[in-house]
Amino acid sequence: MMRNWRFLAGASIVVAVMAVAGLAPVLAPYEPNKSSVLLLQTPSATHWLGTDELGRDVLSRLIYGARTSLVIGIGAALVAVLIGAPIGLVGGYFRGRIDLMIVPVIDLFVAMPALLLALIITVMVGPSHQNLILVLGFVMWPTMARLVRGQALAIREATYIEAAVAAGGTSAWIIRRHVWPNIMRIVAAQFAIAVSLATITATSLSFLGLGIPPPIPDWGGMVRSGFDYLALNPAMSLAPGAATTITVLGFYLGGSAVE
Amino acid sequence: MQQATPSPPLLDVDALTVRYRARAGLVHAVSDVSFQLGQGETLAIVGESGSGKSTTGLAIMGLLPTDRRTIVHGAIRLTSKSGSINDVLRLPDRERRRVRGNDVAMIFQDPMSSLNPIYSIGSQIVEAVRQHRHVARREAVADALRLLAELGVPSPDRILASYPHQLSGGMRQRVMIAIALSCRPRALIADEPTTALDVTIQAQILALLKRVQRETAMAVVFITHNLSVVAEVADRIVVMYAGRIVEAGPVRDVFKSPRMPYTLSLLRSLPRLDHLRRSGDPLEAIPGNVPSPLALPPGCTFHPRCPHQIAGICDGPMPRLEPCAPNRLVRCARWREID
Amino acid sequence: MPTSSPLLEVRNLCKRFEVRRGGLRRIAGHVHAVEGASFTIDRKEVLGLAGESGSGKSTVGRLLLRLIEPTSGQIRFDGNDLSQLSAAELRRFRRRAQIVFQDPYGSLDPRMTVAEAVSEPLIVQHLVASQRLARDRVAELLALVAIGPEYMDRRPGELSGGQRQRVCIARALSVKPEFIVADEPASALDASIQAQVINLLANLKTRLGLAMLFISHDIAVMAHLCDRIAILYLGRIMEIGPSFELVCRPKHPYTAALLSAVPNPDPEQRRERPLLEGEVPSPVNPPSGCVFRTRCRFAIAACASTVPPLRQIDQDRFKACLRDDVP
Repeated sequence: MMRNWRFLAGASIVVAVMAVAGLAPVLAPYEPNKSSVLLLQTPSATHWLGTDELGRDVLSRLIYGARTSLVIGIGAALVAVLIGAPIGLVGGYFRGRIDLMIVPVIDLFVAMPALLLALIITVMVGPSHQNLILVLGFVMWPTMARLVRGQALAIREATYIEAAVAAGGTSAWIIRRHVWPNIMRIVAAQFAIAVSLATITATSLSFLGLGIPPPIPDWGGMVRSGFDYLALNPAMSLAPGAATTITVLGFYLGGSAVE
Repeated sequence: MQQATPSPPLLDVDALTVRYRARAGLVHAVSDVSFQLGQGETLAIVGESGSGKSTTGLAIMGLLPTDRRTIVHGAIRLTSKSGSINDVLRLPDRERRRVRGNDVAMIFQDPMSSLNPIYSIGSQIVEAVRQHRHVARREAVADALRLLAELGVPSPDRILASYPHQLSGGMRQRVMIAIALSCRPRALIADEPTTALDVTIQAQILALLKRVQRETAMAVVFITHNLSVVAEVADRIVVMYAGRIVEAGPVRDVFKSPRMPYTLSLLRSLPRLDHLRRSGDPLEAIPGNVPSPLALPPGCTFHPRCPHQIAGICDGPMPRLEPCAPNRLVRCARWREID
Repeated sequence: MPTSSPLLEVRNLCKRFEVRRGGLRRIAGHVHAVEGASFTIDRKEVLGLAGESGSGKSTVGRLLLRLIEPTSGQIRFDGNDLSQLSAAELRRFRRRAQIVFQDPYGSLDPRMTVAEAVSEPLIVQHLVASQRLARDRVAELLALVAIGPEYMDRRPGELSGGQRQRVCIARALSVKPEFIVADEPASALDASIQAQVINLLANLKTRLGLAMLFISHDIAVMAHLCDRIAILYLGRIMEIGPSFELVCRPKHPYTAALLSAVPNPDPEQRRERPLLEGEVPSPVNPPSGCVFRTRCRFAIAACASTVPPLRQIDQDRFKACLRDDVP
């Protein structure tokens, strides 16, 4: 796995973004919400990415924005895994009535576009860190469940599962010792991909005005507000846009390489 | 090394060597293999996994991968129907495709993977026929029906309309044979054609092949690991181990008095219905495992498992393949001393 | 021969699988995998179960271990009806009866080491407290099957097919069972390795006094290893008898056909033998009466209307055929 360039590239990006988010107070040259009179400056020596419409340093807001994106992205993916993986596992391994109930739910969610669904629900409950994490996690769990279910279904047909039953193993033992370890890899990969999906959906929601309310720095919101001032300081939109793209790419590359 | 065959050889494999460059090293799949096949003859190539027998079959068909990682030496001379003699290994792709199916055809162990699951049997046979003979579709279909009937397939029109997954293993194998025979090739390479079949169906298929051979004087290279089947069908036998020929000769002679310890051990390890021991006596198993092609032992590749090996002789230089009787070859440093 | 009651008694065992088709998964028919099978296995006896594809032999093996539930019929192990066992009793039964599967490549979890795989039955049966404590026992078991202790921490991917199969045998023996179902244990292996595995099983049978159900399509191997052989066709037993006698003097037309189809490694014996024509009928729609009648040279009218019962024709010889004058 270490020799796989996709994994290395993806992992490097992820680590870099996480480092930036973690070290934000150290890296950011200014307070992200500190306004000043230097409005809409283009990039310069003192403000590497210029300033926004309230005189705030774009670079600092970009760095702090990484925190928001990661918290929401990773949080939502975690919710999706914590709900989806057990459901998929139980449905795929035990089949029967539970599975019959799960499958239509999964199919329903998979058929709907994630963004649209997230949009509708966010409008209803209002945007905030928690809400966004929960909504996005809720939108993504069926895909996770479907993947885990598929894997569980395949594994339970394996002869070594039958051998474990013949040895006297209980279902709990078999799931713990045989099914889960063989699924873990795929779950980890899908987790990373879910982070990238959540990030881009959150950013899109922000762009549509349904994201984290100001003044918390958030890449989607920054792209949106920068839209009106593209002629004056294009970095306002371009920088967070590029940052989002790179982060999403990083998680996606890493996740798909593990699969 | 040439063996004398009664008629001019249909197939002449000359010092065939196939090596693959794998990430872990150089794999010697086939080393210095030579044999000839005459018209109407059945030659059995016997070996276990890693012996190189399947690779040899693929080489004859010109089906070896043509990338830089595959290194092929030697020559495979095939006498085509027109009388010309071509080296299959040196033919350009277009010529190879003409030879394949027309002059020499191949059938495999698992018909399921050679038959396309989304096309009906009829369309696959017709496609095979029309690839080599420019005939109208209707004529090709008639040919296909006739072929299947000749092969003893009941209700051939129903079979033509069926799909591979609807047929049993034995029926699929018969379809494969029909496709292979559709252009009346002079030689047929059969790579473990009955290994996946029940023993009663195997008997039917073997009888079928024998009948076709009697009627058309087709030569067959029968690749298998099953010595009992070899005894049933083959005139001559070539035994391969770890990519090399270790014994060759007429089937009756080799079975009656094998000279290579590997052949002898293989024969002795088979449980036999005709020589039933009372249960309790162990079979004479060959200890150890077939060596990995990346880590072949020095000298005779069989010596670590051989009950007759002598240090200093068998692990030294590779023994040569030499005649031990008229028409018989053996690769063993000690064949003269071993009884 | 048997001095005590049989270890395993099977009476009228039937297993039918449902065939579901269509969007609503309606039942379209049944696969008659096993029909009315009755036989016994004594302690320390090896019974061979021979049959071709569609014979249901693998299904019988799994039924005997309650890996699948029978549709009807009774299986008694040491006097106890298997279908009446409580969960705890079932777990204890699994200590006394084990199975070795056909596929050495799928039988071992690729993520478990050899030691973990061999000790798994010990752990789930609560015979050892942990992996670490089981290591000595694992080493002992591996020695029984001629695998060195250096393989204990390797993964199955590093072992050959023959070695994997021996690990599976060691695993089956770990709980000291009295009875083992060996489902085609050597079929997926090279010829030279097959003999090793067969010898190992024969050796273990003698040393450990195991009873075995040896399932295979290879009658020659079976005649060598088994005390008695049962011949299965389309889920029904056609004939049962002592190996040597059954192979030398078959009493059922199918047995005779099966034996004559087996090639012998002797080119001098090549002869034109009468072939069994046709194919095995579909198990979803088995022929009425005797299931073999569609391919039997000796079929008479009565064969279509009556299912021939498995009747005794000699001491320890049974056959399911209406006629006495064949083959």
